[in-house]
Amino acid sequence: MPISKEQARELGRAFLDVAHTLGTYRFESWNDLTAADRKRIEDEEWDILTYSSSLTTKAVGVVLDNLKGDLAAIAGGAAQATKVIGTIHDVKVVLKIAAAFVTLGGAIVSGNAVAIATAAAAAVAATGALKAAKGAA
Amino acid sequence: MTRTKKALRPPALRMVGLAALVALAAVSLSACTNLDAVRTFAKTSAVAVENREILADYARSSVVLARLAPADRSAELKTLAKERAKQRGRLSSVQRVLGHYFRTLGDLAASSLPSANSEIGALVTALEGAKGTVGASAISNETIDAAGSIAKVLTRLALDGWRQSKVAEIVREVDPSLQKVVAGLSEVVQKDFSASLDQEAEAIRGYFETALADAKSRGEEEAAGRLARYLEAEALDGVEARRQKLAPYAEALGKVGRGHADLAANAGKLDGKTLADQLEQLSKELGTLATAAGKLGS
Repeated sequence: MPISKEQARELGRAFLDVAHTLGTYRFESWNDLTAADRKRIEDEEWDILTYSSSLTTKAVGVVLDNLKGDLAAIAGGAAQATKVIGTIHDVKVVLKIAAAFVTLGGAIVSGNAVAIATAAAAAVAATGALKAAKGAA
Repeated sequence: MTRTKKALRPPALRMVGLAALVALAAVSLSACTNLDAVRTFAKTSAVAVENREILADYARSSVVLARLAPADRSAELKTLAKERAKQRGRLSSVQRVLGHYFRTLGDLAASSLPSANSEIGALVTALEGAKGTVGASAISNETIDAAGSIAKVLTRLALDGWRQSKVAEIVREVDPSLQKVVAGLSEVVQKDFSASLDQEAEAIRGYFETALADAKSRGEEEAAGRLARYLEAEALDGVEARRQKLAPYAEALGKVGRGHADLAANAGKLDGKTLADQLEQLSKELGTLATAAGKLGS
């Protein structure tokens, strides 16, 4: 059965308390203990402290696993916002194209060949900007 | 047909009609949404949620434990340090996703974004140019001006209304997930990062108190004992300094969550004064917390 984050935290705290109590006993009874006993108690303190640390790591892992779906939803929201910004920029490009084609229309009506060529080039460039914007999106 | 009818309309009446349209346009323009408070809050939140130092501190704890443990007890702690390094990467991704979301939301709420004034200006200039080519009588200067003003307002209103509706839609959709992620991250910081520091402090205590007890038993308390006590205090001060960073970060996450919840609750009226005041206050507080966190980190 997988351990819950609450259980991991509770057990982690309990193990830490045990390690602390063992350490306190070892220091207070230093002169009454043999070197071998001290070593054994210290090893046990470290084992218990490692369990405590491992349980904390486990709790963090459980939280991270639980957040996967929600993180994807937030990333989706950011992607949606980026798309909206892209669309707003598209609208601005469309307005530029409209202006370019109005100029082109005027030039065609006037029959001025140089003006037609200049306006046509501007219209093509504006259209190209929209294509580029769409391609980049 | 229409043009003929317009041409028959008395010039004075036409002028009044145009003036009314321009006036209406001006009034409508003033009603455009101001999402400055939303933008500021989003940009401040983006900075507040991304705190790499706290993540590095968490990963570091197990490295310290492995370093202090007796050689025959350090292997498992080294494995744990690798696991925490991976978790640091995952936690960093959580912060990055939140930061990216808030930065993008801030960009979308930026007041300069939907302004198409220069593009509309170009359209008006083009219209004026076209007037010259088809004859001065076909399109009057007043018509050109009015067309430009109206186009400007309609475009802006359309873009602005659409932008606000999109901001509202995104905020509403994201809020439940954002609340869970912010709460989860805050919980990890307050409970697990704090527990990790408790474990590190215990390891430091065990390490130096062993040296101290050994020094005492050998009658070397005044030499080795003093040194051990000093180094223990230094190491524990370091742990405490890292602990001090946790509360401001957790508080900042709480404010980010609260602000986003306010945004979601008021999504229909994002430029409302009450919401703007709340967001401005939260932005200021987030700025203060970021400054405090920076000072603690330095």
